Amino acid sequence: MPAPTGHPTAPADADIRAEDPQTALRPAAYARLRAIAAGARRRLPSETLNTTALVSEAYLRLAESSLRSDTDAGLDRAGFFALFASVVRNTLIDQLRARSADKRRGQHTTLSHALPLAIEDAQAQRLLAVDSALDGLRTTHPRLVQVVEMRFFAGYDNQEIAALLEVNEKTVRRDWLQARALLAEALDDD
Amino acid sequence: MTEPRLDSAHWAALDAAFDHLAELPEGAWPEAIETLTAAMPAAAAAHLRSLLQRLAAQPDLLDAPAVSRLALEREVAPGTRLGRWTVQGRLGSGGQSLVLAVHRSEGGFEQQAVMKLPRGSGFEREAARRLLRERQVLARLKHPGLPAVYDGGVLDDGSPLLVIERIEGEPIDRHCERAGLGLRGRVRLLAEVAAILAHAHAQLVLHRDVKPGNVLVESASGRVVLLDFGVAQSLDEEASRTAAGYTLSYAAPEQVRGERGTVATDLYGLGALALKLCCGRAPFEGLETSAQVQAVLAGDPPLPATLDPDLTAILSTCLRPLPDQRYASAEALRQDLLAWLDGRPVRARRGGRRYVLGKFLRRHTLAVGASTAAVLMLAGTTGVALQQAAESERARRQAEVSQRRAEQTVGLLSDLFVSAASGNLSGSWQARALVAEDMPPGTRLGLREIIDLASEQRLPQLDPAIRVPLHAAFGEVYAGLTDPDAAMAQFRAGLALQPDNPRLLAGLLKQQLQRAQPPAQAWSDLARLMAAPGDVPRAELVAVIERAANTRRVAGELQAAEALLAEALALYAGDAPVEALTEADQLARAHLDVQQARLALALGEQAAASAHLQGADAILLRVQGSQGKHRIRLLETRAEQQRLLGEFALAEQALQESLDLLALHLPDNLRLQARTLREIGITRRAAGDLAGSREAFESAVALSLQSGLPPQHNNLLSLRTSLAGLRIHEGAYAEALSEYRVLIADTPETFRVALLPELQLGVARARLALGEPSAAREDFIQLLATNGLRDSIAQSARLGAVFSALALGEAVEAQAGLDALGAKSPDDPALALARLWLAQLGEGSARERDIASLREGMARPEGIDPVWLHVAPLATLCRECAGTAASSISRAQPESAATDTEASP
Repeated sequence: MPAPTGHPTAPADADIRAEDPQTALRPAAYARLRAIAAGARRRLPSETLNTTALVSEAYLRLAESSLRSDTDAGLDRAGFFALFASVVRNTLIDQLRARSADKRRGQHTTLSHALPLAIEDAQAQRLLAVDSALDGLRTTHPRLVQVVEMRFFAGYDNQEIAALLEVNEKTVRRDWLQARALLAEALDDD
Repeated sequence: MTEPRLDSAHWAALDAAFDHLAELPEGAWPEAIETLTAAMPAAAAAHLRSLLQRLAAQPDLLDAPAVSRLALEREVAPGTRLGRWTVQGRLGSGGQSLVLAVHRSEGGFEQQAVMKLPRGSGFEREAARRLLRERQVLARLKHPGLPAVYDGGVLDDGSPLLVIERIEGEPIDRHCERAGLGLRGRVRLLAEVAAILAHAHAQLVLHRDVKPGNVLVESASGRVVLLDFGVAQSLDEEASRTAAGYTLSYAAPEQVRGERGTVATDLYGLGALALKLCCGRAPFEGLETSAQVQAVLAGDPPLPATLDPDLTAILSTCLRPLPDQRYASAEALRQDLLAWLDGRPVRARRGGRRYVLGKFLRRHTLAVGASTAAVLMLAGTTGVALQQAAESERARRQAEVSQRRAEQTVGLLSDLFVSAASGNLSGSWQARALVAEDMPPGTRLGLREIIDLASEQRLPQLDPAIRVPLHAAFGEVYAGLTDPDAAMAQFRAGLALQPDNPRLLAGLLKQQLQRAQPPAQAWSDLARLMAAPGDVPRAELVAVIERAANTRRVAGELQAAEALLAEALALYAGDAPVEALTEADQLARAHLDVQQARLALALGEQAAASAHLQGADAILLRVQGSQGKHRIRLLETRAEQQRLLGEFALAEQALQESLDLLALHLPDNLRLQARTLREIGITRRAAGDLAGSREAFESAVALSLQSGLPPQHNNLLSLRTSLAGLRIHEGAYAEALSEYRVLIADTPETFRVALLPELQLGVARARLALGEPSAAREDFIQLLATNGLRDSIAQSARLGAVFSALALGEAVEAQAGLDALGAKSPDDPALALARLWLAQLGEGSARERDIASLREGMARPEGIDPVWLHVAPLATLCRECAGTAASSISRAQPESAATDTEASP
């Protein structure tokens, strides 16, 4: 996935060994978000969303080094991708929060944000609402949250999610249905 | 979620229900739900039904990835250099554009500016369109009340950018407060805003977002500046749908309804601004949004009873809910504001009924019949546009666009028609000329449709006295749309009714004289026009004469051209200094200077040419700045001069600058860009850069074809002739021969006289180079028998005959030809070469200096025709010369004059 011209690419090959997984995955999360945004703009969603090369690269690096050898030994393949999707989500939401905070303070958005987003207010509010609705689900339905993160935030399709989490695709479809129903309710009640 | 904490049994039941439902197609759900809910606790059953209902109500929930509606925003850190500008910081981002504060310092001169560029990757196309439009609008509108355009260009990644003047000031409402302006001071500022709008409207540009934030008062000068024409201008569907262009407190009811704006929409905005300034709040300001929308639609905002009654009348006229009940134009509003300032009675007080049918009908009571007809024929177009709507979704959208354009044009043009119909020609001259001249070709479909329909169907039904000025107006609009045939048809139709009408004559001649071979009658028409120019403005008349002089010069009739220019200059004799003339006259003067420079170049008077070019540039720089559109022709002439002086780098630099200006001012006019590329090709060839030359010629061919020219068009034939000529320089004689032959076959009858001699010369030269001297000799001799052969071609043909004879060993014949040629230019290196060769054949005598002359000619890139060098036995004639023969080359061939007459900006 070539980076869109005019924008610096997040370093996919950042040294991710020394830091904690959340921080370590952040560059890959940015790159993933950029790729989805760029792909969506070009209206080539299927091609873009099936591209897991970036993440696989990050995964392999992580796997080669610290993952299996020491501290994070408990994190398996499925765990890794679930973690990754939630990092993608947090990365995006942090950006949006920072932006609306800037706006409230009446400041110009700084130019140095790591993920340069141009976003309509209404869209941003909607995403923040989805985010908090997801938090509401976390205690009762952690698996649904995971599927929403992987599909809605990290942009994988059902088949990919099934493969990454090593579950049946039917399960993913089911979780997606229930997650949307519960989120529809939560967003309605806002 | 509002539900109380639910127990795990509740969730288990729900989860199980989803397990089941996910396996079924949605069609089977209703039945399954009945079965499932029957077996569930009541609360869980109700919850399940509610969940599925809510899901059904939001079918597209989360259907696209979270980021897919976002776009990547361009990052521009302070200190970044973009072109000549350094970024200082970000001023904001509006719509699709990023707005930056930038500055540059050059030669100790510091300039502050505002740069706009597309906000991010997802916005490129739309933003690019808007930026280009804003750039065009600002460049076209040029008014002290609008920010000046400093720069425009393209970044490395292809994004367009626009650099405009940074106004150091504050919004008009804050300025009034801070400066403690009284009512009169505020009304004076409003009259200035009205003047800016009137200027924009005269050129078919609407603003559509007049509000305090867009009207700045410059702190240092008090100058009023109207900002942000980027949103305002757009006539495209997207902008109208998102309705992102306006601010509710200043929006007219028709804008809130989602309709397109007209002139009256801007007048409402100005009225709302006036209310804000005079009474402290905009119409319905402060209401909650939905209530405000209702109020705006209902219309007639309450005005404070304490306000002066005349001013109240002016404001309420602006703020009427129906557009055609407001003022007819920004100028009419301005006049009323000025009347109020002077204590004269204002029009708005004369009562409501006057406005019901549209004020322009009333202002010109004599012309009511005609203007009603004009409005009716315009309305007819709207009907047509609506009809098209049914065809398909795409056609529908286009029809909407053209309908909107038609509606907008109705408002803008009605005034024009009225003045035309009422015989008030001089008043609308300038506006009309601007409307016509700056119309981007092909973009104003609505207008084009209107004029087509009007001229074909409605015009013949009108009274002849009204038809004459309308034919003139339509002709000028067609001329602006670069449709010379339609324009000339209009002028001719008008002339059939009134044969001596100077305005029609001027319009017709301007078109006819653009052509390489104007009809003979054009010259007598020109004499008639010059004898009785009537109300044709001087600048217009001078422009016609200047065109005529150009045509004469290109045809080689230099004395006739000189006489015409003298007559044009005489029109300015005894006048005040150039600086005191109107802008139109100053520009006409500059064009005369450029034309004089071209003539001086044709006469070989370099010093005079330089002086004229300097004079023209001084005027143009003063009137329009270095980025002005009218400098294009000047730069081309300067390039021509530099090329003649052998300053190829300077020539190319001037041409590149001219190409930049073309891209800035006439981005859609590919033909003019092609013409400049051709000049670049000629310059590079003269400089010996054959590859660069080919590249430029080929780009010019591509652009010409892209512009829709047929392959047999004059311009393309000339370009292909240049490419065939390059073949000879490249030593590819067989290819050259076949290209010339194809060209001869392709040249249509109408261009044969102009193009054929050069092609035949090419064939003959190629055959000589290919070792067919006797055939070549025939060709050269036959060519020399052509009537009216241009000097440069005749000279080449005579040389060709001499070299053919030499190659055939016909020493006597060569000697005779050489004697005839030698008298004219004894130092021509080609003649030196011929003399050396002849001497070797045992005839005549080569002179000592012939070798020097030949070597010198070969050292210059354009010194000697490569064909002559190729056929002569160089090695035996001049041993030292043989080595350099391969590297020498490139003689500037006479270029066909055809494209010189293409319309210039």
